[in-house]
Amino acid sequence: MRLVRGMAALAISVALTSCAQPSSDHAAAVTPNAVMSSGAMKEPEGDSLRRLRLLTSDQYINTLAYIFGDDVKVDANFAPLPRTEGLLVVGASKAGITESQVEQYQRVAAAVSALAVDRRHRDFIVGCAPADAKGADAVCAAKFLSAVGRLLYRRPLSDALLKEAVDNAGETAVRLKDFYAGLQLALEGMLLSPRVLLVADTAEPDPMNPGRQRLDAYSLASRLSLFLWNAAPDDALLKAAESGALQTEKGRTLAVDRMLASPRLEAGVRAFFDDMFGFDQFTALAKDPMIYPAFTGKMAADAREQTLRTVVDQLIVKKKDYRDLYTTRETFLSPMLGAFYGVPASTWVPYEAPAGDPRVGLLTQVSFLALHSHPGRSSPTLRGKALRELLLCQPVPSPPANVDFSALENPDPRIKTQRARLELHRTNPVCAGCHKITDPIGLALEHFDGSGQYRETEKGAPIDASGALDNRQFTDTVGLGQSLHDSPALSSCLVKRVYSYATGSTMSADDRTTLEYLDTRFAAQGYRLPALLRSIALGDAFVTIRNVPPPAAKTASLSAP
Amino acid sequence: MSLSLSVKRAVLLSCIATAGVLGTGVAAMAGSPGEQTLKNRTIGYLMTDNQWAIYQTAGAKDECPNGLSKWGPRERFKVMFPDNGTKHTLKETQIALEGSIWNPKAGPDKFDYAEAGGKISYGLNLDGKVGPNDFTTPEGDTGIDNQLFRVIGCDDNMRGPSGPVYGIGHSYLRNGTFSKVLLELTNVDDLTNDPEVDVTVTRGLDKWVTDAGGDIVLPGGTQRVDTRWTKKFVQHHKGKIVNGVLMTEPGLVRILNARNRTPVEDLMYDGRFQLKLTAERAEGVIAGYVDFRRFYLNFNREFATFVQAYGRSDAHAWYNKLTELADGHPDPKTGANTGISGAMLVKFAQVFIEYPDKQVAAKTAERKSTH
Repeated sequence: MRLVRGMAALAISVALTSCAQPSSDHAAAVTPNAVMSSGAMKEPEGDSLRRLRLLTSDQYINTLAYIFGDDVKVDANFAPLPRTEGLLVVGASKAGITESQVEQYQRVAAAVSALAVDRRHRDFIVGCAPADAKGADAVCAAKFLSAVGRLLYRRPLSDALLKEAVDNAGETAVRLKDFYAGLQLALEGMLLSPRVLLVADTAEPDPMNPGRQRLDAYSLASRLSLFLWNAAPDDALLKAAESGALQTEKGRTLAVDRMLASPRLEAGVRAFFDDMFGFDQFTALAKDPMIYPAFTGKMAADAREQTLRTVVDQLIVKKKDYRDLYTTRETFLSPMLGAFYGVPASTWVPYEAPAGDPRVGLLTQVSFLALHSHPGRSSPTLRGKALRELLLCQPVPSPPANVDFSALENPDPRIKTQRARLELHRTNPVCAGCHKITDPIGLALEHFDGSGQYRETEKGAPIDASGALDNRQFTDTVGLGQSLHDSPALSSCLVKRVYSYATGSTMSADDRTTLEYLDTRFAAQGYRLPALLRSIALGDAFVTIRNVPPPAAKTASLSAP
Repeated sequence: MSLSLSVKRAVLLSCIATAGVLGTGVAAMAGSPGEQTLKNRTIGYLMTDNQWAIYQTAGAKDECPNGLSKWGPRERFKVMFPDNGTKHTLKETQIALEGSIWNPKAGPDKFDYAEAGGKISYGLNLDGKVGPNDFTTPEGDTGIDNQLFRVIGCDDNMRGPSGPVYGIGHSYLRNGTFSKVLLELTNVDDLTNDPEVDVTVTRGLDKWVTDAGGDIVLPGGTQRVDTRWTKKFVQHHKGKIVNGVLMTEPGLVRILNARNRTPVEDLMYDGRFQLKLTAERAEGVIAGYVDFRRFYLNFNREFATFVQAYGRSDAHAWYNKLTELADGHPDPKTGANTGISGAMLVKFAQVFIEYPDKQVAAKTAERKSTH
């Protein structure tokens, strides 16, 4: 309880936004052609912000799974993070910790620590046996707590911290006459520690570049691991940090290449795209069962999984061009999705849509179509907005507060299609500004209803799926996918999102040069995601810390009467 | 092909949605171009509903003029062993009654039985004749042989939708792991008219794909065939399709069931399927001469006395009636009929059927050929 009170006290004041820089999507717009024309393929000097951010639920779970094994599994759904510039991970730098969150953390910590030292797990997790199971054993406790603490804290424990943990374990063991009860309490305290739950970048002077700051080795290890594996560093990475190898070019390259070759990369890539695609919204997704009887909770989960499997298969396993995600006919089907597609699937199976099939690319997957629709109908506007914001990094303004939806919801049976209804918006000058940038895209997906099911007609009327993405005209859904594939904004948006995800920061004008470089390099490398991840992880900006002058102190004073 | 499948699927689901809205269920669905669903001249179906065919009218007035069954286990026990001070042992009472259920003998019974009657019932004309004991279907087909209806038609347990056996059977068919009956039609050129098709009955292994409410089985799911544990259940029938209706030739039909967790198999001699087919659904009857002794024992295995008591099922009277009304499949030695004409109302949803063993064999052969 003492720990909880301590955390609660901390919670009140952990305001992390002070590190944030003013940001703008437009400020970070990339012009790759300019870079290419100058032949600038050499990495420019770059830097990133020092952050203090919360571990996400998945990062916490993945870390515990690495330390204790998959068997020690708990349900950890921490409070949602504020989505910031398209990413939850960036919002982790703006999140605070409330008292109720501390309770959530404690619940998880208590469950994990109990599992880790219970009779089923203690022999292989604790790794040593106490001299007397009914009393304290400082040697065994220190051995276990120092090993686990190093992985949880992402750096070796200081002597003082270790002593405190061992003393706590010993005191409890004596009182309860149970060595493992003592260990459990000490472990619970570690799992609740702000040093574990919060990732603080620590900077140090860069000996290779006098006057500049760089992440210290442990912070670099954490940044790399959270970026590529969505988990805290493993033993090998911490050893590279401890030896100093991680701060050398060779050592960092070895570490990054090892991480990129690891099966754990899949978890990192999944986490990124889950974040970028806004899949956290699936937790609240519901469809009207009277209108879409086939859309169940299971269907929603499978749709999310389908897209993530497709991404991993295309980008990591087959190392394909990122842009091909929007034109590929390859995907995976579960039994539920198989029924939806009309294709046999008794378990998850790979599937390639035949030529002529309208389901081409991620835009035609149920995840995108259903997530960006209303509960009872499709929405070209929501789909167009999502495409612009999520995939092209082009923010679309929210509708004005006094928007008149009555025309749109006109029950006139003569208005059969969404295209006809939205025409009312596009001809209204107040609405047209935004609808002209969303609807021509979204209407191309109108062959798919609000649940993602294919349809030839809407209320008996034929569907016109023609449209335009910026200046590219197309006649159908396949054309939309190809236009998106060919849009320069598609790849530059990914670069921006991945870099932002890697550093946990919003982008600003200061990042422009780095983004331009990465964008150009990404194109030169055939838009291969692993190459982009490698470029970022090995880049100068990833490790160099921007010198940000502290905000000027402003004090208010009352003038003398 | 895939485009047309997608279109078909969309039509189908909108049909289901409409059916749900209108409360008319699958019957509201439009017919569909069946041949579009055929893959390699094959279409599969999964049994989603099965109930012994009982023609029901409001208040059971037409088919049960003498009312519903009255002598369930409790009622029978009270009369046989009145609470008048006489002391009986457990062996003389409960155990004796239970034993007589498992070792039934037909004979005189002082308890009257509510036998179903009337002129209308479901089923098929099994013997090709129109006799005085035959029924007529609600659609007007004559010569319907369904003596089983007379036995169970006024049993409150068996009547739907509120009868416990009816309800439990419905629930376990959907949620149970055993009773996934698959029907595969092969060598089909046309789902509307085809003079010769092959029908294979197998058992599936996979969960059903249902709608958001969990009650409507969606077409398009996939079922793997259990070729390991239920080999003897695999059946092959010859059939034809006329105007969208499948009719198989008479033969032994095995019906796998697990209405209350207990796996059982009912047998129909000279059994046949008559199903109206669409690309997404099949619906109709399975009719034949039901092995009545097996039917009787299966019922008692599946539904314990307390369940029988809910609807006043009278096992003793059942056996008497089954023996009395049996009308087919005589024992070659004794000449006594071992089958009673009956029918089961069934519904199916289209599924894709996979044979894991065949896939494994094909992969093994492929590996061998490459080495």
